[in-house]
Amino acid sequence: MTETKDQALREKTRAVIAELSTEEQKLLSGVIKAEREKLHLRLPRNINDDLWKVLVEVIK
Amino acid sequence: MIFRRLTLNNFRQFSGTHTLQFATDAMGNVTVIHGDNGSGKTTLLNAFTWLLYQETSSDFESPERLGSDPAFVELPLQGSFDVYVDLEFEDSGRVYTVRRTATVSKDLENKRIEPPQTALRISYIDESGEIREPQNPQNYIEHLLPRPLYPFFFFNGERIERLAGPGAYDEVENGVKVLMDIELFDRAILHLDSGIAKRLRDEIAGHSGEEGQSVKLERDKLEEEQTKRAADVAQKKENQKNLLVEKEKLDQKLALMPELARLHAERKAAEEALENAKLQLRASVSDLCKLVSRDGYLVLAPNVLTRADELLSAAHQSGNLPVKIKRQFVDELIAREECICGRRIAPGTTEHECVMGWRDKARSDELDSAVTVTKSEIAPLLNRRQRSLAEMDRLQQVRMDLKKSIRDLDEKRDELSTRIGKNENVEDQEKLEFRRRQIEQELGTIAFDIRDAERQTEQAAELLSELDVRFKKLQKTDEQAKLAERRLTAVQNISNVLKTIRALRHKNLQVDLSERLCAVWDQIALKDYFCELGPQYHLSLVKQMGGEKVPVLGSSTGEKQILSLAFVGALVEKAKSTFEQYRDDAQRMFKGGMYSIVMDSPFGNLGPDYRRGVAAAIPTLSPQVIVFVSETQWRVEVEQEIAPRIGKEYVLCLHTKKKKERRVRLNNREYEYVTESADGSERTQIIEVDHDRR
Repeated sequence: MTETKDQALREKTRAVIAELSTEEQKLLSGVIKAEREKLHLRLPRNINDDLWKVLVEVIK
Repeated sequence: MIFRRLTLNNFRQFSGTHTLQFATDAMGNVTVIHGDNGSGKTTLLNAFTWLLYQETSSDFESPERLGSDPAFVELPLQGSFDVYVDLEFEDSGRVYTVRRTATVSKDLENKRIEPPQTALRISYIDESGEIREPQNPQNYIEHLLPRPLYPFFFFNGERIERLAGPGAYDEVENGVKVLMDIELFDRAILHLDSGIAKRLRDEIAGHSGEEGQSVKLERDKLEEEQTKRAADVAQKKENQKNLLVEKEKLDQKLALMPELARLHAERKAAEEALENAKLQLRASVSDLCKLVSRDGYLVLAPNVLTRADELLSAAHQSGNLPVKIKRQFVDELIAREECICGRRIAPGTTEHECVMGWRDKARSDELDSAVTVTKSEIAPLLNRRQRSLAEMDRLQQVRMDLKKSIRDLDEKRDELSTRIGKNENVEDQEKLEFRRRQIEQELGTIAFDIRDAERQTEQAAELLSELDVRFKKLQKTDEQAKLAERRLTAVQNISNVLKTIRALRHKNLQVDLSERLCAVWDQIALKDYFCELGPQYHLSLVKQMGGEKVPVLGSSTGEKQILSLAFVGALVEKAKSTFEQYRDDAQRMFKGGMYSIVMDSPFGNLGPDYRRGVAAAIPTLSPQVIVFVSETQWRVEVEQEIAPRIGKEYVLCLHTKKKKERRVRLNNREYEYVTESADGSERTQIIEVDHDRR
């Protein structure tokens, strides 16, 4: 039950991401990684700087 | 996160060093820890949360005093000892060891010094086999098991029902969002839209002349209004939550109103039955007294009567009893001095003496009559004795039954009085109903305001989009502005994708978790209710009424406990499924994880049916379950359901100063449960149950 629904979600998610350009997909991965690093913090200090860093590295 | 081993050193009643190995097999995934009241079940639960977050539950008294008392007593002046909890666990293929240490010392005046500061260490072996020790251990732990999640995985079963009430709405919403990565999406969207995109727009505006500055100012103003509106909505939602909490409390009180009336009726019936039983008892005692008074002597009579019967019969046989010659007839012969055979019976002759002998043997009428009566009454008397004894037994039984009935009715009346006393001080029903209507009106107003604010937000968002289009059309004066524009487009595209995925995930969670909840509910609960998970992941029970689903008002504590347990189970299963789906995914949009559940007293005050249902469900809730139970909680149905899934089992043996000994029988063997302390100290010893024999 749960597995089937998760499988369907995974496929839909992939389809949505596939619409992004390669550069944007890289940026998305970087954003997810940076956010996950600070997810355990109630107030993720300097997160905007982390995201900016990812952005300027990916889109030059 | 699967726990392998827990070590306690001088932690509260666990004096010395104690180690518990936890069950990790797929089919033997349950570790059961038995302990009497005060033996350390709650301490063990709190050992986990103290170790991982330096937090303890509200029912853990004196959390500032963690060191073992016997260890402190043995400590010399100016000496110190370490209190620590050490846990080995596995997460995503890595084995971690985490230890939190506190120090207890004794000063020169024998005073105990236990500072709140602790030392935390975490280490693991990396892929190359080297031991790594992260610099910020607290951060690292919360990265593995975020703090908002621990109430779902370490809990007291007797209080778990709070998860199903409005009081825990924030806790549940935060926990679910973190566990299911919704929080990650919310944060990413917020940071991209309000932080990064704004910075990029500022950059573009700075390179687009006066028009650029004008669009920027207009946009900033709109954004400021949006921020204010968002704060206003947040405040309204907070008020909404508080009103819902108040409404829930009112509903509980109102639900008790018919209950109170029912209790009064029950008490009245019990009192009438009690009076009736007392009257019957008095009548029964009176009957018994009369019977004893009338026939009591017969209890002692059988020997006398039997002996009398024997004596009379023997006297007849031996001729000692008078024959059937009347004394009057013999007296006439002697007076006539002539026998019936014609011989002379003059005084002094042998014949005279012979006839005189017959005179003694001849009976009188009185004696004859007395003997006849006595002989004839012996048998009826013995029969009456039997009947009387049987009647006495019956009356005694009636008396005993009535006494028991009076005792039971008396207890019932007291219990009902206590329950009525607890509820009698509630406010007037009309006032409660009035306040409830007020709350509903306020909630209606707030909901309207929130909808209105959301509509304004949508309109403002459209205006913002129009401004974004104007931003794009601005004449960019240099390459930097063009790069900023490209970056802004990418950020906006990513933000939109994140919003779409978040909506998909949210729908997936609501449907899937609700289905899972209903499945567990159906398995355990008796009532035909449905479990629902609201848009903010709030738990509720609903029922069908006239083809419509309506909320269940005043559901019982047991029902809420089951709902909450089912919810925890559904979350753990969902996290596991997500983990397995995305384990090897490069993007890893969702993380999930394997989580253990550690629960104290999972059966609370549930009835036998619910207990059996919960016991059957527990091993399936999580890949690893650690349960603390008392002897009364570990009853027949619980043992029957859980025993086949036990991988490890322990007894917390309480050493007490008192002369008390109790043993507990587990797996066909007896273990010390409570025992008199050999050294006079109160402490707990952990004994492993011989599990190979099970």
